[in-house]
Amino acid sequence: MIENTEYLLTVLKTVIYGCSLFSGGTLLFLHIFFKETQDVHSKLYSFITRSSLLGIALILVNLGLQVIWLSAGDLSALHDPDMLALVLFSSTGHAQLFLGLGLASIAFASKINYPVYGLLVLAIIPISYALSGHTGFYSPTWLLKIFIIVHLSIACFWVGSFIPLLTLIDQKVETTSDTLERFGAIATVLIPFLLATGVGMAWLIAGGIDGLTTDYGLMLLGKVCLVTLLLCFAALNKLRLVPQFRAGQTQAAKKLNRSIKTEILLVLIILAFTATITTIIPPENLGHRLG
Amino acid sequence: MKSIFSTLLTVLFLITSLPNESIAHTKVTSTVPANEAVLKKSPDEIKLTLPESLKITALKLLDNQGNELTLKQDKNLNPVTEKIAIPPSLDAGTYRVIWRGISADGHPIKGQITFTVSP
Repeated sequence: MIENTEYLLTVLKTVIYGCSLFSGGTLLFLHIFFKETQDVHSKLYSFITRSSLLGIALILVNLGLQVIWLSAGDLSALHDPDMLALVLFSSTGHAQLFLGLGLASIAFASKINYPVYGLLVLAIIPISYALSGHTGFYSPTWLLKIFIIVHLSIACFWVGSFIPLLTLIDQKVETTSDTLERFGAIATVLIPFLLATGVGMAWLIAGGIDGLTTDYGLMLLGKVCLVTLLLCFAALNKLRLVPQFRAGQTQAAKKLNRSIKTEILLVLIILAFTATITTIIPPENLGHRLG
Repeated sequence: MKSIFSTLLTVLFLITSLPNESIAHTKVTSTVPANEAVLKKSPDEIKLTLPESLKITALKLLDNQGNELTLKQDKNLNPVTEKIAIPPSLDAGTYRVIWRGISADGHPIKGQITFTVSP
């Protein structure tokens, strides 16, 4: 039970990461490609709402599970007001409530169609992750916080493109090939920043090359391999499948659809790696494992 | 667009100005029994000495089957620098002590030691 709580926390964290990136990212995509996505707005807003509500529900479950984790597997702690207050008023509790607030605001984004509201709400997602996690424990903290915010904002943009692009391809919207090309052009500029901030955070947290031989470092290297694979699919889309789609080749839509779905699967595995890193395998010098 | 950009920049500045939380993660000073100790008799007490005040939320003793053994301990959640629990008389075997807590800045922590009582 005690160890199982940790694995359950990891699974929950993975899905919460997914919900926040997919709902926030899709909203971001709608703001950037407002005109191009007009035909599929209602479908995408419905996805955003469902994804946000799932995220909120899982945050509540996660808070309960943290109470059980803190009591080392004791279910009766869920009835203990002191333990509940302890979790809610911890830094992790605050960050999760902040994220929940962000997801709730995102869920209402379709009702408040105002770009500044949308962008402020979106800022909550990377900020809530900057409030917790390993980036707060290392120096220079300010730089790590900038790295995580930039890293997650770009990840949000990338991940948020999957569902809208799949929907546009599926609905055979006329401007889809233009949207695909414009998205590819923006992503080409942003992805180097995503990689640079990722490498920067890993370097500062793992403590350089030596840190890569620890369990934490090996997990990071695993994540890097998956990101490299993801980049290969992104490159395949941009350089081959999107031009084929634009040229109207018969199988191009199907191939593009399959490639984006593979990207989604890879992102989910990457998020699972990230959740494991932040829950079960912390950096060696962080001292989570007291004694 | 300018107003959006300046709002986001302000938020970014505020977040990066948040205080550092690194004091939360310091290693336990000592434990009784020591980690991986081999004891000739059952220990009289289990003691954690911490370098800073922590709220210990759980302290459990498990046998090598993973069964929990009752520890006599004060279960309040006040911050402490030392936590003591009295175990029952232990037979020969390997035991695991696990604990969970929350540091002064509210970050969850965990730890464990194992020890053996020799026959």
